[in-house]
Amino acid sequence: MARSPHNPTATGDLEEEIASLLIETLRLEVVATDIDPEAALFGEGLGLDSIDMLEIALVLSKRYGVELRSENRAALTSLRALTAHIHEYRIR
Amino acid sequence: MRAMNSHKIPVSVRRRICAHPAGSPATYSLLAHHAPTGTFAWRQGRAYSVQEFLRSAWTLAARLPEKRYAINVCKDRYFFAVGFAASLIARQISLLPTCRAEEPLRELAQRYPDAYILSDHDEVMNSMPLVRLTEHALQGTGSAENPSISASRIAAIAFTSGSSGTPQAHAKSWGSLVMGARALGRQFDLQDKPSRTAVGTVPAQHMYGLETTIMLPFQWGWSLYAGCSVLPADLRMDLEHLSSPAWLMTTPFHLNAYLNEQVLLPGLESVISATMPLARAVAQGAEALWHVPVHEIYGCTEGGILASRHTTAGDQWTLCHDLRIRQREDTTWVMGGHVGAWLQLTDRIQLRGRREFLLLGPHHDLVKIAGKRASLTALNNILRQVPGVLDGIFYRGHPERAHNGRLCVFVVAPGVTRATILAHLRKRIDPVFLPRPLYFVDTLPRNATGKLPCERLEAFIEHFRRPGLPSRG
Repeated sequence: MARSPHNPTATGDLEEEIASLLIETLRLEVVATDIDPEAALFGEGLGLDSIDMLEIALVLSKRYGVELRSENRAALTSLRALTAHIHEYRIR
Repeated sequence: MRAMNSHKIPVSVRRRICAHPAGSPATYSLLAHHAPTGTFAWRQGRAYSVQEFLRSAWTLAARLPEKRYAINVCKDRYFFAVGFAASLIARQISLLPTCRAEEPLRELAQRYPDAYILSDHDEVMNSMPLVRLTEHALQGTGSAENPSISASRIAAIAFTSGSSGTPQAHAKSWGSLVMGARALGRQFDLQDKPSRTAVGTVPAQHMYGLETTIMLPFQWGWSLYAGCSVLPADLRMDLEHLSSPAWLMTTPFHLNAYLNEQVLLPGLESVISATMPLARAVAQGAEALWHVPVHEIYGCTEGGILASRHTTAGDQWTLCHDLRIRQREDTTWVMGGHVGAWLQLTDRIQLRGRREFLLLGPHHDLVKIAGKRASLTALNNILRQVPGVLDGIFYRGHPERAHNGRLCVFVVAPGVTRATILAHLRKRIDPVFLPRPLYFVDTLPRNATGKLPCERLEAFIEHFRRPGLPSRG
């Protein structure tokens, strides 16, 4: 898998990077460390909605080249699941 | 309240029933499709025929609980359509909640105790009778008859947020839904376009979604696309499977997002947008990207489609053929056709001709985000009911500065955490109205009479817009 040497390799760093990306994209009023990586992104937890889902999908596609589909629903359950998914399928 | 010539404009906007006008046909068929083997729907890459759909509807109708109301929360549009048709056949009324948050659904159940939930997913309350739709459950060998339904029968109840916070019910007769679908078709010259597929990014429970992705296919012999995903990768793959040209029924929010990323969508013939006015630049961008015309619908839950425009051709809207429009000071009413009696509009309008007008925006109290609407008064009341909140206000910023038109909240709540406030709100309001961001303040700039004049509020809020200011939480 092609990966730029500047990109974080450990999932922990990637998790923080994705958390910051979510906060920036969705203008959430929290800091990255406030997000419980195991908490639900939608509904309870961060309380995101379907509008956010589309925005997240677009920004992840742009940044990592990973296109989310509804069959990847499991990847959107938490920050940790999303990070694992991006880690596995990223092309940049 | 403004003095109004009530004998000329008899209108009750609080709760009105779209009854069927006298002199119209007594019944209308469920479907307008001619060939039983023709395609009724596309679902997960497979075509469902008209007779297959009708068999499923009759099969389901025979095993629905003997209740008066079916709360149809199906996400898959094919399942929604089967459930809606089965409810009609079983003489039940479909309740269409646009918000699946816990508290509104519970309130709906209390308000309509003789109801059950019709669902294709498991994220529903377990305290109510449930009919769970699956592919297997819909298999049947029964009748494939296209039912005739009385025009005056109440087919569905749609909901909007009222200023008290209690959702307002809007009952739709089968006749008014059919006439609305016909008016919609005439507005876009569908007489010449017999077989198309309606693809939507709005839920079928939303009046605009119901009209364009359910009733339009039913009444113009079109196919419906079952998917409810708005993700570009899903849409693109599904569109590739369609055998007829697709009409995309969407919103300015979705168009904006697709355009920003230059998402290519194959097989499109036309785009329709509604729920809020579309910027002309976005319409131009979409027309250039997809090489299809972009039209807009102006309507509301109470009346359905009222007018349309070709966005890149001009700002002016053209009223539906069967409707009439009337104005007194800054209040406007429409009537006739599928709308029925005079209906007061929630927007400010400038008439430009007998059927043409400009939209000037919503009246002060109304906020619309992603097709959902709410009253600021109601949102503020809910906010002030949070334990520990002394004062608070939802604020709608300038569209260019707000994030997707989201609201922010200023709250006076010493000792209360952000999480507590958000958890309380999340149970009571649709997530699109949750604050982004929420600011804790020591006091709101109320004047001597306790009011919050616009200018004082604007000046106060400007202070929080400066970057680098921390907010507690």
